[in-house]
Amino acid sequence: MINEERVTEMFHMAVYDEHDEKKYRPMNEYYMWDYVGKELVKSFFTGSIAFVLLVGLWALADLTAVVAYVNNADLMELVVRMIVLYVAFLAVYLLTTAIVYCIRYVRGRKHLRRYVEHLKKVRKMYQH
Amino acid sequence: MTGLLELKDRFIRFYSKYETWLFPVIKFFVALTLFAMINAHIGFMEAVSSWPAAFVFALVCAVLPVNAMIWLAAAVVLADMYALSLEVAVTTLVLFAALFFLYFRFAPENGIMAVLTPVTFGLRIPYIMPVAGGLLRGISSVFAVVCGTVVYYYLDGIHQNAGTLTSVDTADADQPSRFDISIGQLLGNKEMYLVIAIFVVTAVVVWIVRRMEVDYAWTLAIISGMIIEIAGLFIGYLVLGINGKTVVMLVGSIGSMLIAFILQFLFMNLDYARTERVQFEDDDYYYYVKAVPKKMVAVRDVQVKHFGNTGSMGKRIEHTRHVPNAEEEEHSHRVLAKEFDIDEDLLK
Repeated sequence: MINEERVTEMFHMAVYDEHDEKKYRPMNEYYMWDYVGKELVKSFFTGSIAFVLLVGLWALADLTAVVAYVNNADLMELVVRMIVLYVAFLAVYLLTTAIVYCIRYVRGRKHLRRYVEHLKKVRKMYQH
Repeated sequence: MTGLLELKDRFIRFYSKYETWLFPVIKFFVALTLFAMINAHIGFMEAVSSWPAAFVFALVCAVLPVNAMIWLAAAVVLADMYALSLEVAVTTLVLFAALFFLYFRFAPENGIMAVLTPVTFGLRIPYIMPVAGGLLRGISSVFAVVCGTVVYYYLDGIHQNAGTLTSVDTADADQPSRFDISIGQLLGNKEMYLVIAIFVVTAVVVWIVRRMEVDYAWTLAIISGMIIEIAGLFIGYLVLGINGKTVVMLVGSIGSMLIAFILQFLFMNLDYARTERVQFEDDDYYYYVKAVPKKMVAVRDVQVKHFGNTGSMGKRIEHTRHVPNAEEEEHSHRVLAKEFDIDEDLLK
């Protein structure tokens, strides 16, 4: 005889396994700041690449200005300006990453808690 | 109002029932519109920018995830840019790569917003995007809207300067290079910066107001969002000295507001759950479960009341309960069996 209550609980778990397991797995494996830290490291690299690409675009557009900087021996000024821009860009980018992934972690933990509730119920049912 | 709610319920029932087919069909039409617009505006390479090609791409997009539409559209745009000039293609590639690194870190699940933003720009109703993002998606949808806006303004600039780009004399050092012209569409486009700023503020305000615990939060969110957009863009156009866009903006805003209210009607308090098909097992059984969501509003229960002596009416009304005959019963079994994917014999 099929236990309908058990099927309902197992259904919720199966839906989680099918759709959300991959998405919320890190929230189960990491503490909040480890998870956010991992994402910050990833963002450091992607942000740096994005910055280089954007600077590359600017350099292509304003090649004469870049050449003028180099010719006038203002290379140091250019480098300092780039570093300041890079730090400011990364600060905004990393701050956004921290906020977004903190929210994701909190939401993910809520989903996990619901999943564990179903898991507990199913376990109880099998024990009786 | 009840009639409208019933209509909404019917719509949801219909969508739930045929979701498996409807979602790819919707994706197909969105993709077809997208590729048709690319063809119309920047279709420089005939091999990828023809109607048959657009049709095939749309078919492919219909069966793949939404983000595949972004990749395919990006590839078609790059091919078109390459046909225009190598320098423009390089600029576009670098721009797309930068947007990829900025966008996919935060909002990969909002691919549809990134796709729809340039499309709505083409239809002159882009003002719906930040409002729809704030209403239906999370705050992270603003990244997708910004990326879509950047792509639209860049490609529109290329479209408008296509003649100049093709006639550039590369040997003439005094003339601006193709890099200058193509990147200039991006870096020197003040209107784009204005629109991005207004869109970001709008999306954030709509999202905050929509979440407030006040009556008519959705309506307030839509109205406040549209006011910010209209006022912000109007003042911005005045300050930047951009002429001839105010009327289009006003008409587009009114159209966007109407769409926003339709979205509100369709999606507010929508307890839409997908029909799920899952498989699992325990020690005794394999389960193949199809879970059909319960619906919210019952379809109107039509009751006919008769007053006075019904016996004097031309036709006698049968008050006894209708007992289905064998044929009707067999038919209802067949329908139920089909609906729940089960063996018809089980119902006998």
